[in-house]
Amino acid sequence: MNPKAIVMRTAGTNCDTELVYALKLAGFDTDLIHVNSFISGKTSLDDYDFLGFSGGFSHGDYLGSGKIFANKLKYNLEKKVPQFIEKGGLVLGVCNGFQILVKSGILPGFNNDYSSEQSVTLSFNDSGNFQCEWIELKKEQSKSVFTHGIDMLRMPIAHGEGKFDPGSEEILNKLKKNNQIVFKYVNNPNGSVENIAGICDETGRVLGLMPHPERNVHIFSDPLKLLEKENIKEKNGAGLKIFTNALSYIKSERNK
Amino acid sequence: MLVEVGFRNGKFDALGESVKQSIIEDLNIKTIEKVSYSEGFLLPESFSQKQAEELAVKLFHDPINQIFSVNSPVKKDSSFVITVQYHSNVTDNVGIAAEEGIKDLGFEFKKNEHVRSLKKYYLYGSLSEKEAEEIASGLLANKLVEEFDVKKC
Amino acid sequence: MNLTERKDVKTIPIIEMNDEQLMDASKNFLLSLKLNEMKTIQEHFLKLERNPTDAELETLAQTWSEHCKHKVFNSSFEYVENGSSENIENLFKETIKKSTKEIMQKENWLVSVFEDNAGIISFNENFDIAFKVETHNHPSALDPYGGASTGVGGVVRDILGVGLGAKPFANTDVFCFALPETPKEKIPKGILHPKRIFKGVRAGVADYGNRLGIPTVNGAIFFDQRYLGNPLVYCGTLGIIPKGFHQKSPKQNDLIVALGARTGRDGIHGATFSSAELSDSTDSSAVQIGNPIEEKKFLDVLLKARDLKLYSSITDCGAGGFSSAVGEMGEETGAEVFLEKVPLKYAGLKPWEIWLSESQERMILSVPEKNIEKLKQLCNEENVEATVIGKFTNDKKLKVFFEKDLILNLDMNFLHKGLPKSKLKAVWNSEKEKATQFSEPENISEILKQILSMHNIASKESTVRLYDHEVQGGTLLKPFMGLTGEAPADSSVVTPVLGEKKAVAVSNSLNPWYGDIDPYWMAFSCVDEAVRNIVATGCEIERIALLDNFCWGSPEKEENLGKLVRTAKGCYSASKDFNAPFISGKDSFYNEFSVNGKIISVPGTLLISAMAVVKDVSKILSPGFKKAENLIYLTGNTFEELGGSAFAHLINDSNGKVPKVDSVKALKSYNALSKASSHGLVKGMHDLSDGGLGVALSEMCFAKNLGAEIDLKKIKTGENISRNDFLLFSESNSRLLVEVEAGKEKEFEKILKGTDFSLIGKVSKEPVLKITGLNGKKIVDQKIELLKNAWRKTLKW
Repeated sequence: MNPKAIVMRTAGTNCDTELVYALKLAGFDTDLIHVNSFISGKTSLDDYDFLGFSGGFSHGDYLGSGKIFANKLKYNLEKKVPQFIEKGGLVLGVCNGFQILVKSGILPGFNNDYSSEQSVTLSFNDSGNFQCEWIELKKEQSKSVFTHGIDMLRMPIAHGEGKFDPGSEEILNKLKKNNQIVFKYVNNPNGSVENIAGICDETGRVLGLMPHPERNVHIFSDPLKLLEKENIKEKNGAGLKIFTNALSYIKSERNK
Repeated sequence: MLVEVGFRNGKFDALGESVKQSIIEDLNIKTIEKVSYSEGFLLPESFSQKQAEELAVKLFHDPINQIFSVNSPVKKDSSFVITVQYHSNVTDNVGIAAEEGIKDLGFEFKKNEHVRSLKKYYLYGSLSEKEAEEIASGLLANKLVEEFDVKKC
Repeated sequence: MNLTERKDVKTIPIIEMNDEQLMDASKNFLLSLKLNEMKTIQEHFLKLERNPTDAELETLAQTWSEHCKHKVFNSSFEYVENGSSENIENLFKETIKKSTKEIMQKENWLVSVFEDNAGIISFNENFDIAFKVETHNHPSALDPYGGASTGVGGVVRDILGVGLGAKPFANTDVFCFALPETPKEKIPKGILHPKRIFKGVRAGVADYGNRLGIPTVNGAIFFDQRYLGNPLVYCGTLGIIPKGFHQKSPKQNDLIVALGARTGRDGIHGATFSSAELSDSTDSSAVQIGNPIEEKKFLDVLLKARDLKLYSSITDCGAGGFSSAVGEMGEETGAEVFLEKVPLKYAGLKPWEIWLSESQERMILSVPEKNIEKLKQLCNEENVEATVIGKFTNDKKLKVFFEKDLILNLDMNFLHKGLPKSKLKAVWNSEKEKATQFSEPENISEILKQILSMHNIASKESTVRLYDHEVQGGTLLKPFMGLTGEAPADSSVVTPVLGEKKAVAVSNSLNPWYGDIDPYWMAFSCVDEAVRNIVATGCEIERIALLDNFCWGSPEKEENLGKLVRTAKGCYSASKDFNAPFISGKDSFYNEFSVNGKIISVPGTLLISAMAVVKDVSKILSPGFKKAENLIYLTGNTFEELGGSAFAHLINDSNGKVPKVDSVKALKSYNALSKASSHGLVKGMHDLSDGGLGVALSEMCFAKNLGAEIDLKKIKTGENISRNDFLLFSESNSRLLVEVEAGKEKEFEKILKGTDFSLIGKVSKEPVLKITGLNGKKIVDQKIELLKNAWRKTLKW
């Protein structure tokens, strides 16, 4: 039986098409379900191995990107997501998904506490503008189960509120000490502190990042690959590894 | 109750900075030194100060880089403050979103009660009143859909 | 006897009015109806022996508006071209629609054209694709942000309402503005500064489109001072729909369901407003602000409901609100609406206001009674409001009730077919084309840099990157690519079905400066450019469909109509020659602004949008030169055609021959190039357009910071050209720059045999553009970096 992934959406979620596609391509059986279905109890996270929050403009980004959806997770789903993580589930938050994870207190998840008060944030790009472009990430030493075999990774960003702010030196140092910084921008596009593009929790099973790996699962999605297409034989984009790593992790955990 | 949310001192205000650039480049007003941007949420009269504060903490402000105040301005040292609000019969997306966020936290609205949002721009620098008016009508607000107020501080 | 005596419903006593009073009524109620139209209505109600209610009169005005009925295009014309007269029974049927009809005789891939909210063609065995482009000009002049964002919202709803609903997968945006550097003193009262309009429109489109999760992949921005008081905002959306879902019709007793946002007083008179010229006292109720999240919410629900087959028909509420949506949907059946059931934003709306409101983000569905509970449940789960407001009948009457009082009772036949046809006179006089007058400038390098800096040619990257063009994960050819992401692509290629070999290419073309000289050739050039933009992707075109969007001045002027007819004729010829049928289109008139009695009219602006199905997306070529020592070919023929060119405008010369099109040669050339590309012989391609060869060469160098060495003597010309600047900046159509791998000339030239082409140079490692002139001397020797800076600096904000 294939591992099961759920992409949880709400009003304004909009990068679900490509996230669901990437998960399916990696081998997951994937569902896309509205958060109301979880709040009403109609759908349960217990049925899944992987929980994804895609990019988008949930609730328009009004009141701060991801805030309203984050509050739904925190106050209306109560402990459901923390319990899911504690049971061994994987969580990925891309772009708006990352914003949702930090604003609901799920990331950075210090001391495995996924219901804590918010300790980091993602704020407006220094330029004050939305920006859509391809960037390069460098993998940092971290516990993330999503990043095996990855060193450098290219993918697009498309956001207006991507500036990572750890809030204080103390929190930043904690992230460093715990190896929770997963990716850094090679060329910082938005003013993120210490070029941080993505972080994980202390178990490595929860990952949040601003850029979109699910938009680089076909080799020629990357404009630089297309530029050199003559010399290229691979079919898959580099971003697919994030998802196949997740699948491998789940499968190997099952075999234990 | 009016809950106002602005950026903490010391945190980079990208939106304010962007407005400042436009004032200099598009309106050619060079006396502007800084712009601080904040958002306001006008809650229905039935909401108390305590409830407004609770909403500010849980919903309206980002605790990492923002500050809030209830019924008082977040910045007190500017030369002018321009307040911009949509006309009452114009769609207020921020207000609509705020209502959903407030209901999710367990609050209830009476019939015909709504949240209206507003935008505030604190202008710093030795601007004249005329320049402040020009910034308001020439850049920040469109009279057809918005009403605005220019106050000297 | 009046239909109703309700206090909140006015009865307008038109049956006793004289001509002057009828026109006053049209003016006072903002109906924008002509005298013969008012009289037709008067006659109709005389027969009924009563006066119309405000709701009835407004409904007729909205349904009979230019925006909804395309009266000008459906008129008969006396067309006088250079003194000789021709009778055209119906301009639309004899031009735009005619070529489509002719093409449909031999092609079987046109699924739905000119009858629904968008045009639909076949994509693959499982899906069809739809495209719609429309304009939102007047609102954008008043509130750029709100006008542009609701423009996006409106066209997306057209795609959601085509057939039983298509999923939007790409957006296009084309803007026309006055120069952003226009001095404040030159801005007349009541007009917003063009830079403010530009920034507002740009932000409105970004904020709405990004929130809907539709990638904005293609567009253009054109500048001319005649757009000062009347910017143009063309918004387009492409959608994908499962095969078999293009047909829809309500049945008797199906329920009329209003879906989405509540109704308020916003935007009343939108359709009639768009048919009136702007003035500095325009009514503000015509401007609206959109709620993209509301639209995204019902987009999500509708696609689910569609697949569950819960509704029998759907359309969007656009101009005229419920009156148009229900009126159109119920045309063959008849409908009854109970307005008190409509959910309102606030209290206090009069019945006619509810009926005609243009509040955004609303759709109308016809739902068989057995499905209504399931639909409501689906909507409830995602916080979408769905309300039954009436039902379809079978008496072919449109009846609207408010609290049991009948406030509108119109015959569907009269409503949709009662509009009297107009006969118009159009006059076109060709001016003898005069050769370009100015003398050859000394410093061609300098001229090249100045042309690159011109607003219409300069890089639009800073605007484009405000739009998410990657969302949904299918955009393979993006607006800007290359090593540093600065090189422009000619068109966009998107895979709406991820992983599939077949893809959709989108391109556009507009050139009002050609239209200033001869609009026939403007139309032909635009179609040629839209096609060659797609050829430049390297993919083989399986089929291509076009959309026409006309933005014109007043249709009450014979010369304006003359240009219109001439343009339409060009559209017909080009469409036919290229086997590219028109599948949808729109027109917008009265794009003029009057201030203190003076009229500023926009130049006749035709936008051609093209959507092509390409067979194999793996053949796609990234823009720009790829490797040093590769050969550079110029396909097609170069003529001395500088009329309306960027160069002519730079030098301020209004003379010159406007570029023509030899479609037979062009098609042959494009087919050969496609073949060469499919054989892997082509490494890069770029079409020549504004700024001609000089600009195209520069742009190709930006991709990998390679240079080029070019010899103008090698260029194949269709006539004797003795000047370097003419060779470099002529804008002859149907030409492409093609990069061919060194050593493959023989194979490439074999495939291109029988077409016009010339080997004009090679790609160089040194990042310098070197061009040798006709006399053997170097006339351009410029670092690519300098050319790129000139090109990027103009609009870098």
